Amino acid sequence: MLFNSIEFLLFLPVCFIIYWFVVQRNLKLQNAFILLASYFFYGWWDYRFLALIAFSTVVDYSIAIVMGKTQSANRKKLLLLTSLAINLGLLGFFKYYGFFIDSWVDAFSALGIEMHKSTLNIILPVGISFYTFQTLSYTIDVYRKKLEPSKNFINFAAYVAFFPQLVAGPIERATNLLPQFSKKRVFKEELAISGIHLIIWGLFQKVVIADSCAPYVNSIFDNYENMNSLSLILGAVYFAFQIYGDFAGYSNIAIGTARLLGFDLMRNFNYPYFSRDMAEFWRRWHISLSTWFRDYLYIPLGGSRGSKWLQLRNVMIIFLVSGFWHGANWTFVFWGFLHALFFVPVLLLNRNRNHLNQVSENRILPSLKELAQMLVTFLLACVAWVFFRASTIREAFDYLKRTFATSGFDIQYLNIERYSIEMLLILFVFITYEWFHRDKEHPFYGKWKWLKIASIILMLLTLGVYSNHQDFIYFQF
Amino acid sequence: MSNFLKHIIAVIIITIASAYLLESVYTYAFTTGFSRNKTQYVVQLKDTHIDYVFLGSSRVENHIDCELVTQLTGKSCINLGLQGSKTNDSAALLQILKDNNVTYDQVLFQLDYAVNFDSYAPAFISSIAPYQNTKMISKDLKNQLEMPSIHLPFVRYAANDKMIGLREVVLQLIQKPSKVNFTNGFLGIDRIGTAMKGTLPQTVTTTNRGVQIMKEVAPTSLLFYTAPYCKSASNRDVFMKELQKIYPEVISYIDLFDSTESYFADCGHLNREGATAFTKQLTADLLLHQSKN
Repeated sequence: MLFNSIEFLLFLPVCFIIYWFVVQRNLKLQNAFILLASYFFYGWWDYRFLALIAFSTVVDYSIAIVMGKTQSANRKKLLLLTSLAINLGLLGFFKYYGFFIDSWVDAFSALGIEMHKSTLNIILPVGISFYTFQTLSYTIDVYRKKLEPSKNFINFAAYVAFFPQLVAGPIERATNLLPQFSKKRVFKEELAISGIHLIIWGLFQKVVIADSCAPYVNSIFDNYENMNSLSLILGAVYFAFQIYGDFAGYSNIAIGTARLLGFDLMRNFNYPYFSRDMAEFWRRWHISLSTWFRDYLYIPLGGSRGSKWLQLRNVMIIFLVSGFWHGANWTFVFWGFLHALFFVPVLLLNRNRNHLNQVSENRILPSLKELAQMLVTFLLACVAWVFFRASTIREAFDYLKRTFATSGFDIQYLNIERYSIEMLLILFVFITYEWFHRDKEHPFYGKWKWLKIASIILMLLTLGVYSNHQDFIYFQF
Repeated sequence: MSNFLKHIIAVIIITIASAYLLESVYTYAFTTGFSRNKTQYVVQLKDTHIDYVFLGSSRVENHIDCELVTQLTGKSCINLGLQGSKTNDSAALLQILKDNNVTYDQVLFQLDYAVNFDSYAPAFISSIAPYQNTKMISKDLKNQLEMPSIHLPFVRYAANDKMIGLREVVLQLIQKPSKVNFTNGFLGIDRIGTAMKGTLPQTVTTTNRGVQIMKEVAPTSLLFYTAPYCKSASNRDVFMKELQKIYPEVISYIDLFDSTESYFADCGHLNREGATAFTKQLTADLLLHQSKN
């Protein structure tokens, strides 16, 4: 079920009413209802994969229980490794099996040895990367004794399958979300109202920004060989906003929906395109994933302790793994590699924690230096996005080469309804909205709150893309 | 909870009020009398007589130059061919002509693989959507188009935002003319096709709702023909044979330009030069010859 669908528009109010007006007196019933609603939500796509979520849930629940009772450190480690093997094994099979077979055959073929390709036609279960990381965080935290194993199976199952963030995050830590299932939930008006605001803002980001950019991006990337420099630059810029609007929009709707049910999820995006360097970008982009990698991979590897060489190695590892997490294609790995390259100078110069504050704090406009820093960071992000969007690494390099080689700067006709100038105008309005509210999680604050809500609703109706429904990009990961 | 409910109600009110406001603006823009597409033009055409009406897809719009037909025959002509249209769309246009008391002597319908589809083209549905809750189109047509009887404000514009979205509303309000002159309706293509390829289906469905409706609306004045395809189109002859089995009355021009490839813009479409030659041929065969008889 998509957040921007009629089905969800009916599903959410029904859930809300049952949750707060029918089962509100009994926490167990509320959690059972969340579990039921979450399985219904997920099963709407493909009910067959519910068994996979249920299996992961049972495995991690049982392993954590046994782990909690075990005194032996070796046995605990063995249990953790079992959980890692099962979860990552499932992820590997469903997401990377075809990729590994293809890469293996291609590698041998490059050596002149022809091998028979026999891949299975495996369907990728929606959201497997997200809920796998979520359950992993649970077993690792139990192993590290940061968390007591959950004794309540329904609570744990509801935590794993919690529908607002099940298919595309934010990837919640068990330490933050699981305890919320054990506490009695009282309806908090402010939390719920902010949830509604986040849903409206998230819908705007998805339906107006991301879905408007999508046809331009498709048109330019699919015909990049016939495009001039300006179109290729615009293609990368549009994709930067498409993927941001798409993913940040999903995250905001997810967080907003969770708030309606009395849950507080972590923030996933914090105006990443206003970052002044790559380190800041990664503190603002897909925060739940980057902090996951920081806590469960970077720090165990040694983090920023040790020699510069070790730090560089650790940075390279997390970016490559992060790229690979996104998809079974070398383009994603290269995207991660590029980000590592962009990050390394900041790290070597010890400037990775230079920009912890808000850009242009207490000022309306940025200084020239800040503006230049933001533009350079955005430009680097756009270069990397070309690899993320292209089908192959060769295609991405060719795209970039043509960007500088074709040198045409007239606006080309694209077979879509809006002209480029209209799209740029929409993006300008969007950036303006974000800039003036960059210290808040959404724009609906202050005395003009209702005017802003009305204008966003008006834009949602007039500029939203409804006839050409676009799936959320991150569902494929 | 009360503040939250007030908040939700306010958001709903804003949404509904915006939808009503936009509905009024959009409907006003599309019904003011200025036409930017053929459907609008036909809806606003009333109480008149046109001698020859051509109906069909882009293989009519790009092929039949009505100005030339008028020059050759001295009679009025309109090309109502629509890009990507299906037979049902042509039937709906014919129904609108009837509802608007527009009379004609001859309706020429270009019959091709579109008879295998029982549907309306999205572009046609979008162009007719603004009239859904107006009296500008008849109840019969609304039934034919299976338009919903419940009317929710702005929903039809949102559902068809690609064709009748904000941009089209603005262009409509500033009265930006369309690239097609609707009194003629012809849109020529200025290129010569190379390495043309095309595929036609090997079968033809036995019945077609659009054709059926057209036969009911114009029982005596309806004429079927098939426009040229390039000779490299696979299954061309098989398809034509099958088509003639089901529609024996169809006049075939499918192989008319087998020796003149330069007349094609692509396998299914003639270029401007080809269109001129085809219009002349068709006029001579079906219109001049007939009027002499």
